[in-house]
Amino acid sequence: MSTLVMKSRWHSDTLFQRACWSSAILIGVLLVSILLSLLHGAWPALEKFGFGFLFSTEWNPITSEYGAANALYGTLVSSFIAILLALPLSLAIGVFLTELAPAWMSHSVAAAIELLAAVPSIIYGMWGLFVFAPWFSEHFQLWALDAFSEVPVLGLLFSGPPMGVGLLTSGIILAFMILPILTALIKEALSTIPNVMREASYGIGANRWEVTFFVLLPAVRSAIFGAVILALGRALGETMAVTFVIGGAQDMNTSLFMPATSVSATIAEQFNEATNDMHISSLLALGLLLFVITFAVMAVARILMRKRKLS
Amino acid sequence: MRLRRKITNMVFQLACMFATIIGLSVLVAILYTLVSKGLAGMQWSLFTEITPGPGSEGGLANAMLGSLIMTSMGILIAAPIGVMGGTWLAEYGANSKVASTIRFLNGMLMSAPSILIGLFVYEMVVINMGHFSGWAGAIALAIIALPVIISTTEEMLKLVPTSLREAGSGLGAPKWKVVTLLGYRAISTGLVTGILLAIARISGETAPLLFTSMNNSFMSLDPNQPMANLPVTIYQFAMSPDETWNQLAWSGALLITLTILALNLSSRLLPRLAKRR
Amino acid sequence: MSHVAYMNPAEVVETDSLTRRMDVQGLNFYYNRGAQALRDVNLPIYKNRVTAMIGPSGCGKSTLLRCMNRIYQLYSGQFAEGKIMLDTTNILDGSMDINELRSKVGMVFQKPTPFPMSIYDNIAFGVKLYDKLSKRQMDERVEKALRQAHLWEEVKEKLHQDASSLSGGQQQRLCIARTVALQPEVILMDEPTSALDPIATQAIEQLIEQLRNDYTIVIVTHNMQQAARISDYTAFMYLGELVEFDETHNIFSNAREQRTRDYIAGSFG
Repeated sequence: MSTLVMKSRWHSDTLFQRACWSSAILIGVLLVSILLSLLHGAWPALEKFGFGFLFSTEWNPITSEYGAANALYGTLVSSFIAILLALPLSLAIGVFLTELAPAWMSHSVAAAIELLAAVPSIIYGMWGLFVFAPWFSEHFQLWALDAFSEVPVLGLLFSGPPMGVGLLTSGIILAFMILPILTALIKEALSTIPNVMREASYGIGANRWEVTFFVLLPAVRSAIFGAVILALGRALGETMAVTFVIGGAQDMNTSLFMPATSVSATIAEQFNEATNDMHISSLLALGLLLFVITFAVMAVARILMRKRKLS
Repeated sequence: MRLRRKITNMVFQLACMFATIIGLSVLVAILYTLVSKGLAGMQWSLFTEITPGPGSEGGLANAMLGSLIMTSMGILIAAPIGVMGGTWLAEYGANSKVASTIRFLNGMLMSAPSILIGLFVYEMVVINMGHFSGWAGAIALAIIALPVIISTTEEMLKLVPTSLREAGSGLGAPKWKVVTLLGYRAISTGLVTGILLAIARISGETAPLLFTSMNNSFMSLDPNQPMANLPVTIYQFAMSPDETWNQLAWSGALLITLTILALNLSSRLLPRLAKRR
Repeated sequence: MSHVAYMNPAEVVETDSLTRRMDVQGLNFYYNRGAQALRDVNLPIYKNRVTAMIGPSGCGKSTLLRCMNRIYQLYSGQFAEGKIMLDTTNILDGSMDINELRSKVGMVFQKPTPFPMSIYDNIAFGVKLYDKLSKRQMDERVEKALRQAHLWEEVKEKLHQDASSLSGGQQQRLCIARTVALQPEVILMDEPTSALDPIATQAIEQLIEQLRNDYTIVIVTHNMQQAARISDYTAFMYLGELVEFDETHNIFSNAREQRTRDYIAGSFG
C-alpha cells in the first residue's frame, strides 16, 4: 500500500471526526445564539423598564409602556392549574397501566395515550376553543358560578363571565397536553420497581390501594417529582393551544373564568402586528424571560432525573 | 375496619380506571371532532385549489405544498447534521466533559419552547433578508428537528455491539468506514424511525412559522418568498369569522393530524416489519 | 522473575524448516493505569503452523492475541510495551499503518460477527478497503474465499441474501472467509468455536487444518482437547505470564512445568 493511500485515509478519518465534532458543537452554538439574539433584541426594553418590567401590569402600545406581569401571571397560573389537574390523573393512569390492567390492555391503552402526545398543539387549541370551551361553559361554569358564589375563596376563583375561554380553560387544555408525557414517565418509574417489593407487600396482606399508596408511589417519589418539573417546563412554553383558549386579554384577575394572556400567547398574537420598536423589543424581552424560566425549570428536571439514574 | 379497607381499595381501583377513561376520551373526543368537522370539506378541490379570499371557495393546495417543501428542506438540513452530531457523541465524545455538556444542551434545545426558535430565526434570518421567507421557516423547523435526530442517533449507535466494531477494525477498516458502512447500516431502521419522528414533530409546528415563513395566499414555490403552510393557515382560518375559512381550517386540521398519526404509527411498525424480513 | 521458568523459546524447539512469522519479545500490557495484564511475554509464531494458546480464564491469552493486531487500540487507556515483530517490522513502534497491519494479521472473533449486509458484501467489504477490483475480479475473490472457508457449496445460491440468515457455524465460516479474502499472513482466532455446537465446531477445526497450508494461525481456546487436536505448538499462560511454550505433543504428554501439568490434568481448569 502506498503512503499516499495511507495519508488520504488518515485524512478522511480526521475529516469525518471533525465534521461530526462541528455538528455536535453546533448545538451549543445555537443555544448561546438564541440567548444572545433574544438579549440583543430585548435590550432597548430592558434598558428602559429595568426590573420594573417584571412587575408592571401595564401593556400599552399607545403610551409605549410595557410590563410582563400580566403575561407572567397567566403563564404561571395556567401551568400550575395544568400540573394540579394532570398529576393526579396521570398517577392514576400510570397505576392502572402498571398495576391493575392486564398486559394486553395496558399495552394498547399506553399506545393510545402516547398518540395524544403526537396531536399538534394547534389542534388542541381548536378543539379547546370550539368544542371544549362551549361545553365547559354550559356544564361547569354556569353550575360553579351558582354553587360557589357564596363560598369564600372558591367564590372569588369561580366568578366572572361563563364564556368558556380563560385561565382555567387553558389550564385544563394544558393538562390534557402534558398528560401523556407525565403518564409515560410515571409508568416508566413504576415499572422499574422490582417485583419482589410488590410480592413482599402483598405477602403481608396489604391490598392494592395500600401497596400502591404506601409502598410503590413513595418508592418512586423523586422520579415523579422530576417528571412533574419536566411537564411544567412543557406547559410554561406551550404556545398555540394557550393562544386559542386563554382569551387574549392583558389583564390580571383572581377569577379563573376571566380571559387572560400568557407570555407565549402575547408573543404569538402581537409580534407580527407590532410596528413600534419598543413594542417589538418588549415582546422579545418576554421571549427572553420565557427562555430563562424554561431553561431553569428544564435544567432542574434534568439534574433531578440524572441524579436518580446515578443512585 | 376491614370493610373500610375494602371500600378504600375499591374506590381507589375505580378511580384509576376512571382516570384512564378520561385520558382516552380526550383522545376520542379530539379525533371525533376532527373527523366530524373535517370530513365535510374533504373533497378534491381541497388538494387542487389554493386558499381562497374571504367568502369564496377554494382549497389548501398551496398550504400543503408549502408545508411539504419547508418540512423537507428542514429535514434535509437537520438530518445530516443531526446524524453526525449524534455520531460524535456516541463514537468520539463518549464520556468526556464536552460530550456530557453537549448532551445536556441538546436536551435543553429539545425542550425549548418552539416559539422562541421562531423569534431567533426572525432575528437572524428574516431581519437580514428583509422579509419572511420559506428558507426562514425551513431553518426554524430544522432547529427543532435537530436535537431529536441527534439524540436518537446517539442512542441507536450505542446499541451497536462492540463485536461489530472490532470485526470491522479487525479487517483494517478505518474508523469512519466502520461507523458509516457498518454502524449506520446496523442502525438504519432506527435512523429512519428517528427521522420519521422528527418529521412528525415538525409538521404540526405552528409557532415557529408565524414569524419566519409567515403565510402566502398564493401558490409559491420560491423559498425566498413568504411561503404558505398548513399550520399557520389553519390558525388564521380558524380564528376568522368566515365560515368557508373555518371549514377549510377543520379539513386542514384533520389532514395534518392524520398525517402525523400515520407517521407515528409507521415509525412504530417499521422496526417490527424490518425484523420480520 | 524468580521462580518463573523464563526460557528462550528458541532453545526449546527449532528445526530447519521453521521460520518465524511473528515474534513477541518482552511484551508487557497494561489496562487503565497500573493493572498489568501481561508480563514479559516471549513467544515465537511459526509460519504455516497452528499455535494454540491455553490457560485459565483471565490468564491473558486473549489479551496477547489482541496485541498481535493492536485491536486493543480501539479503547483508550490500554497500552503495550515491548516488541512484536511481524517479519522484520516491530508492529508496536507505530511505523506500520494500523489498518495495513490488520490486513496482514486478520482476526476471527469468539462470536460470529456477520456485518449487516449480504453474504457477498460481507466478503467484498474488506476487499474493497484495499483493492479496486472489477465486478468479475471481485466475484472471483469472493468465490475463492468462500471455497477456502468450505462455505461455497452451501451459499452459492444465495450470495445476496442477508448474512444473518446463515446458521451460527456458517456465519463463523463466513467470518473466516472474510478474513481469508484479504490474503493475510497471519490469522488470529479468539475462541472461534466457543459459541458453536459440536458439529459446527468440527467443521471449523477441519477448516483450520487446511488453512495452515496457506496461513499462519494463532488460536486462543479454553478447550484443551481442541488445542491438542488442531495445533502444532501450544503456549500455556497463567496470570499474565507465559509459563511454557513447546510442541503441542510435548505440552500434553511431557510438560516440563508443574503448573502446566496441573492445568492439563484438570486441577485448575
